[in-house]
Amino acid sequence: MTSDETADETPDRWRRVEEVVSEALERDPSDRAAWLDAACAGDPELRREAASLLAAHDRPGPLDQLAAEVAPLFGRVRGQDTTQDAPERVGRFRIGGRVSDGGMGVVYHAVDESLGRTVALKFLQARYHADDSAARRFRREARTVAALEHPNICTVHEIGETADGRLYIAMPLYDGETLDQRIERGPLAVEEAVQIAVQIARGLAKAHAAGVVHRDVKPSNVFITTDGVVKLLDFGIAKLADAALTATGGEGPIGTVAYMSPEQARGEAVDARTDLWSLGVVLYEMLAGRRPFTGDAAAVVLDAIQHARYVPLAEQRPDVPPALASIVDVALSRDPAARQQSTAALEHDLLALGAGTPSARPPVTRPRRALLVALAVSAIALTAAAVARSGRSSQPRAAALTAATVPTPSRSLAVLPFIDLSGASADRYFGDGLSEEITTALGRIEGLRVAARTSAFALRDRALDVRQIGDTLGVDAVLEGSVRRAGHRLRVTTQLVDAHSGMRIWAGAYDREDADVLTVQDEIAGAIADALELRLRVHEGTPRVRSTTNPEAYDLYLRALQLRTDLSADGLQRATDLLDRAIELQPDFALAYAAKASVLEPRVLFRQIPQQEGLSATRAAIDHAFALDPRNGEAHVARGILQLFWEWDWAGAERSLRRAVALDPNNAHAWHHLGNYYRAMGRLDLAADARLRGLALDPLNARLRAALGEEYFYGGRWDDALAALQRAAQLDPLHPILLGRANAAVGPGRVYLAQGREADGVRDLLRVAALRGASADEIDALRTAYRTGGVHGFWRAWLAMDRRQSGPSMDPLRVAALSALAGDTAQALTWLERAYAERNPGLIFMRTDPSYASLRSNPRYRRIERAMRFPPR
Amino acid sequence: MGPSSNGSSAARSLSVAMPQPESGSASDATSRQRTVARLLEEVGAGRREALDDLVPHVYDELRALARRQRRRWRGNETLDTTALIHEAYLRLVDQTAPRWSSHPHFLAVASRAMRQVLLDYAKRQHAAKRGGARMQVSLGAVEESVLARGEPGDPRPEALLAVEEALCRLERHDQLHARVVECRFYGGMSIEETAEALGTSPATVKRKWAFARAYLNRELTA
Repeated sequence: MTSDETADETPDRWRRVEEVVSEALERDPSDRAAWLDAACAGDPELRREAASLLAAHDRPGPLDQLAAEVAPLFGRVRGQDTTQDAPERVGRFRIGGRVSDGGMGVVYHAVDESLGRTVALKFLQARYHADDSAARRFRREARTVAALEHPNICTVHEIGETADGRLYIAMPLYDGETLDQRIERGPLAVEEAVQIAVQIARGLAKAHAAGVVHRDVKPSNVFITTDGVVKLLDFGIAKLADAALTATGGEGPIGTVAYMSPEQARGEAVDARTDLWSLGVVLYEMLAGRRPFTGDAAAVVLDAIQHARYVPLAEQRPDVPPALASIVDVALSRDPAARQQSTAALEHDLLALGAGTPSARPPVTRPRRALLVALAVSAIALTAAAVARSGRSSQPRAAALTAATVPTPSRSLAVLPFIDLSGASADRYFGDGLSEEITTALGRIEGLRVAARTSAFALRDRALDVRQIGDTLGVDAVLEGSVRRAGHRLRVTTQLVDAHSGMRIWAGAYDREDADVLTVQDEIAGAIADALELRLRVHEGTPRVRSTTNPEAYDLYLRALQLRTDLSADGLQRATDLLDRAIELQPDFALAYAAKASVLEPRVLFRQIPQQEGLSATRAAIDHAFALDPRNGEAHVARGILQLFWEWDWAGAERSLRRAVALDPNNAHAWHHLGNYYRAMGRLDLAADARLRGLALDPLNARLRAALGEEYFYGGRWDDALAALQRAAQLDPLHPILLGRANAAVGPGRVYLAQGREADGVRDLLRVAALRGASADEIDALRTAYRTGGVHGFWRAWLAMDRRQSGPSMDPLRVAALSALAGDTAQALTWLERAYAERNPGLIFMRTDPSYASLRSNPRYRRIERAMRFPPR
Repeated sequence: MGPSSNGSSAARSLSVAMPQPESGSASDATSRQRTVARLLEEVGAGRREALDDLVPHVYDELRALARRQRRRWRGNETLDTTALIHEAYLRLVDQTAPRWSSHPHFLAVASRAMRQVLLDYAKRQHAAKRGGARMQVSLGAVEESVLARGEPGDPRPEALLAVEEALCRLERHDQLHARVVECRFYGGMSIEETAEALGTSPATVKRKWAFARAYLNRELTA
């Protein structure tokens, strides 16, 4: 039914709808709902109509798509065609209609016939010819950008030239709109503007790290896909036009010069900081709906950029938080040295607003510094937690000297050669070797770029300070250190320094026997990963859509996430409490609901709370999270866990978990559970891959490492299994998986037993028993049981110990597994049936876990396996 | 570009070769040019209604051009609106009233003509697709395949028809909405140009456009 068929669609009615919609559009988007409620009080039909129109206003629709197709027609009529016509075919591309006119060229629809895909083909204006040196440079840069592969940088499929020497770029044809189309509809909500700016900053940071300056950041070069992902277009193209624009005194179109930095406007050499200025202009325009520097002619605009004052954002838009306005002001400093010194720093400042920035009234007046401090405090808390965790290790660990200063996002670092202070020898092998090993170890961390050894070492003996080194190598942080050897003692001190601010991010000191040098290297790499992981997590994991405006709530949330990796009853209980407090502070904090689901579910799993009550609370939290943000990766993970462990909905679980990692590929937790899904399906190779993906993001996660060890163990890869389990034990020797509290014990002991190394196996299991708090008598009993009853006897005694320690709430499935290991088939089956009767979630691994191997031919076992309705292998 | 520039020069020489008095038939190009020039002057002198009088002339010109074009292309109905309208411009404006060529008033007229041309095109394409069997009799295989495919990047006929339908509903409620959509969507005119052409303020155009765009997007999505 269309609207004009409704009975009450009178002219008055129509005018009223238009009035309500128009007035709503003049308000800040975050106020609209409340305003509609008031304006349409008692008239739900009017509210529905207005709300549906407002929703249609806020996103690109069919008309906009069609407009892109109609545009070339009138563009041609109005003489806006500044290029030669495109040939019908270029290489393997069949060229169709024109999509748009960009400043630097014209974009056509084209079909790549060899791959059968549709692409956008952009021809540079005829004056940029392939044989110009500028064009060559452009091509080189475009190739660099093409190799960057960042979600916020438009992919370049190919750069080529036509037979007559014109350059073209083939790129994906995205659905969505450019930022200038979006701005034309009016100023953006503060939160939306910040989210877009953050994504622009991320794309730029990636390019800057590779030494590429965009030079033409402007709304028409920012594409927003229908999924809300920002894609930066046209890297390096501006360089081609630079000469032309400045040589002619800025005769370029106003739309292009309005975003130029003062140094660019003067025709001076520019660096990455020119992009920061332009991003500042874009951010201003998104918020104010107009540009800060305007004029009737390009020359006037260029003059304004260099000399005029702009109207402060606060006057244009009172609801912009002062902290955000000051970020714009800093970016719009005429002196490049007074701007944020990197896009990463700008991104960080934006995220520090509270990741989503305040949209609720009254406007937050909290000064920026306070927010930063709040984040810093949370980082310190996390670092302290990490240190506390490692402190439980049986091996001596380093003391963290400092964990202070404002956390700066460091995504790239260089390891300088460690200085050997021992004095006597002139050879550098020790310090060099140490730095090299650390470089290699750091290189394994995804999301971290480590400058190659050759370039970092090239700076040796040059008297450069950290900032100069950072500039030279294009890195955000520098790791430096020294080593002193005396007899067999070894002392390594090291610090990670922010290359932009010169401030220390992290420092550590290690006192060891020199035989332990290899472990020291790993520990340093691990500690740095830990220190940087915090920052990576703060940035990468920061929600796209709805986060919190409340730094206190965010801090509670981060602390809860940290506790989540520890599956102890106490840790999960505390995590739940922290999240409840976060939700209380910020009731629409979608991530906190998703996280709450993810800590409630394991509490049910480990019988810390009653099953039914716990699961319905979990479901409620998931529903809440989805209602607030349907694209929340964490909520997909939580739903996937329910489907996998509790509902045995295999297809649903696969869908949810794959969706979760697609939405948020940096979510280690999601990868972990995708691994669980594959393990349940018996796809051990895929399961191990998923764990490795998770570990690349979260290298110090003992749970993931232990799970990887299990995968290898189940798959008979003994050496890999031992390595992973031992590493997990270093990370957290008391982890429930390693202590046999999650399922039948899978410490290294199980692996040794499987290898037939019974003595080693029993010895390691006795170690685990001691860690579990077994008394000397109990350990003696285990040893005796093995001597008299062999492995079966040992497991029988182990089961008795476990039952004593766990009490009546012991997981029936673990009783079944240990009984099977003890050779008590009948008892194992009885407990397995009990586990099935209570829909025990651990049953999903029954096909894979070798603990049940002795039961597999039994019809009672097979009945249960059939009832689980596993898909055929 | 080959075909259209040939066509345009052919049309120009034709109009020069056959001068007609102003009272001549509507199909005559030169008299139309004179009428257009007069109407433009009237618009310039403040008679806004003259704009509406202009539309049929521009449109007739476009159709006449389209007929010639189709003959040249032997029945191929693939849209070459760019060529058509460009030619119409050359003939109606560049030759008679160059100073009007980028004038908002005239752009508004052309935008309206564009709406009509696109509608005609969409209807033909749509009918051709439905009556595919009958068309096969009269068209060769090549034309048929071109017709079925359209050119990539040409506006989709179904979508154009849907816009027209929704725009008519909008127009029934408020004429100004439809005028704004014509200028912005069919004519690619800026807010300021549209405001000047329609004799209203940029703020009003902005508001009308925001509403109309939302309305059309919603109706097209439903």
